Amino acid sequence: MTVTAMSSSGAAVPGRPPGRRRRLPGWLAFYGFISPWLIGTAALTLFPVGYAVYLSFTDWNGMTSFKPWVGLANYQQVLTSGDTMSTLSKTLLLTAVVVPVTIVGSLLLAMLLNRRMRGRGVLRTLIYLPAVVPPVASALIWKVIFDRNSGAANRLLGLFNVNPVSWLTGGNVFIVLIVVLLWALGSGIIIDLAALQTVPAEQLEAARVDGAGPYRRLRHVILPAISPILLFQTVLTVITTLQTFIPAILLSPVSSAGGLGVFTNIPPANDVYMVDVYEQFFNYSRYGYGSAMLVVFFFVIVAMTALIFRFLGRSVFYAVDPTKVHE
Amino acid sequence: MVNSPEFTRRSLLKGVGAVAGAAGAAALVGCSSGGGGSSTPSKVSAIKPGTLTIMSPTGEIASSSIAAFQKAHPQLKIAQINTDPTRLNAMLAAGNPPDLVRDAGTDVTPYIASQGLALNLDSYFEQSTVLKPSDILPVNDVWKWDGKQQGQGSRYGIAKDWSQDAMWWYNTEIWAAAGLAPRAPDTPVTYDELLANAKEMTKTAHGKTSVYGLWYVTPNIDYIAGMVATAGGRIISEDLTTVDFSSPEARQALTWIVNAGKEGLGYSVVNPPADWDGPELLSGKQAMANQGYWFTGYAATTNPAYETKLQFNAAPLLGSTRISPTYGAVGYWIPAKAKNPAASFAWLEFYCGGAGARQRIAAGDGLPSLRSLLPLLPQKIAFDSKAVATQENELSYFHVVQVASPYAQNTAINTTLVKDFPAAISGTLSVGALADKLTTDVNAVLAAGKKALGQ
Repeated sequence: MTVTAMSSSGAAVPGRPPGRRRRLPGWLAFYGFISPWLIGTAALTLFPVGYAVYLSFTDWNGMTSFKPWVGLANYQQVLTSGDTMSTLSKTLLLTAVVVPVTIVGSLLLAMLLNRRMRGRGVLRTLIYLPAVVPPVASALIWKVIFDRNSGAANRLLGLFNVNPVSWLTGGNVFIVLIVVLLWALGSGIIIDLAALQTVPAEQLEAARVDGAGPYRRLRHVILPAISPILLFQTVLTVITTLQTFIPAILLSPVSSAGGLGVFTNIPPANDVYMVDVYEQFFNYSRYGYGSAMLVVFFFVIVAMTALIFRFLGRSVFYAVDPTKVHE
Repeated sequence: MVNSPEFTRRSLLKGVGAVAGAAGAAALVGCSSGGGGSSTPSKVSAIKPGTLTIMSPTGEIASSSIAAFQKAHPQLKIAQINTDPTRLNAMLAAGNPPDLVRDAGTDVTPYIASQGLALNLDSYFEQSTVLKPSDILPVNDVWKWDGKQQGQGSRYGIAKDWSQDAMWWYNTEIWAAAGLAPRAPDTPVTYDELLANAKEMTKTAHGKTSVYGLWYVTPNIDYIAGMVATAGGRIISEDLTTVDFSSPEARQALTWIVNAGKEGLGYSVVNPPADWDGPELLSGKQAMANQGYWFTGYAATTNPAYETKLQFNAAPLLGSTRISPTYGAVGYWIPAKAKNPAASFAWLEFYCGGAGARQRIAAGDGLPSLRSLLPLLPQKIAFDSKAVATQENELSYFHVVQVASPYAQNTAINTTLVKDFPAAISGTLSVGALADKLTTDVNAVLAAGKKALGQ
């Protein structure tokens, strides 16, 4: 039915139906709906990233309006600085230790907790508990445990007549950092437990009937079934380990710049890449150099992620070919 | 039929780009509006009503002080923000700084003054009826800068309370137990004597130390420069552009710090404590603490029973020049772009010389900035009187020791020192090599700072 409106002269004119809103153009509706996200991303992600890239070409000290343009000098220094390369290699070493232990350890514990046994729920809760402790609290707890003079670790060693060890200085503090990072294994276990639920029972049963033992069932049924999850976990753990920061600074002794809010006593062994970035920004006021370090690190992370997909991606079994998925 | 909208990657990116560009441009305008201040004295303005923002560690300023100030200045309201260098940098760069910044005068004055970040306060001090230049103690010279030297020229801030931080305390009980008779409080000992005494008082069994003879030795530039000054040397060059840790006096100081760490006579960078000196001294786990006069107030409020076991002593000497510096002279500076500088200065008058200062000085929380407030130091009990006597004698040996540079903040220099010392203490680096490494590394920091200023 066509609805008409009356003109002032009383003649009927074609118009929109009363009570119905005019349709917005599609493009306007689209941008209207996504604008909160667009504005948020632009203001909180794109602009800071762009600004950091701009700063990386300057020698800004973070306080004055003067930002001397230095071109690629910061990048040249990042790529040739022995100190920066040392922090990068320390970070890669940390990643090389933490990632495999996290992936394998959480999978083994998840398989253990997936078995039917008494007290399984309590065990699952206990193992997951450290993952819900905030990283700051976790680092501080470990700092107390490894304190040379009053920590539980040295008290335990004392029971076996072992002299106290200075855990929080020298190379030992790097071991403590690894322990702190591995302590949060629980979140990986939860993901693996969820993944293990998706392994088809009939396939496991068929393998068992065909005479496959536990190892062969793991190798040929379980791992292929959960391989996409393991790949996801590997990528995520690599990225988060590369960006290790909070535990590294919180394991430092009481800062000599107490009250100033800056950590000046970070042990050299814990000088991982993000700690170095922090120091360049806030201890040395080298905002340009610190920004260049971040840009370089972004490419390192992208490269490592690409390498993981290149080498591990082949071993991943997808029940549905992801390249042929259509909406 | 309504046509479906067509989205192409190009049109989407154009939309995102426009939004990002607008946000970026707006923020860049904000970020580039900072500017240098003037080194000439500012004209004294009238107090405008409004909010006075103070950047200071949370809890440091008592609420009673704030209430008293607001009562005296009803047109002003105090807002506190916690000390945060990152936030301060952002606020300074955006041209919207806090009205007052709490800082250590020894460490920041050349930097904030030479870069135009701080307001030249000469005019304000000249007209002040509370903070009269003739009444201001020489410690506040650390807040002076003439464009080349710290200690001379215009004033850029004032200490709220301070101490001569190379002085030290000892636990007489531990000294007596070791059969040692300490020298008179106003007689300085040498650093070597201290080390020898510390060795006798340190109790170690099965690799575990139950009592440390010495204090927590942290290698920082204030401390080292203070030691070196007592041997007649200096670390930083006359033009404040370079440092030299390889002079005989500097090597002597480095040797002492390295030996103290190596022998485990006190906490050090390779054996850090869980806390600072105070609690350890007052719990009988440490025979000495490297703290200034302000420690009287701490002892009185923390463990009054311990007062009879404490003795306050003159600053030790590395050589024969009697100098007793401050490592902070912590107080306030007013940013050059502060919106209400007269109100900021009113806070300085109240808190560093007026009613707010008197309250803290009477509690023994530190020395005043004004000579006229010295009689307020607590002397009701014998412990207080002895500490004041030692302190009054020590005042005549105060001297501004040059440690800061306009090209780097001391935080940067101290971060570098902490990285280099552990290798020397653990024996993998000789003192000579440490001196060379410190010189090279700190000079690199200063050179980078100089370059960042376009010099």
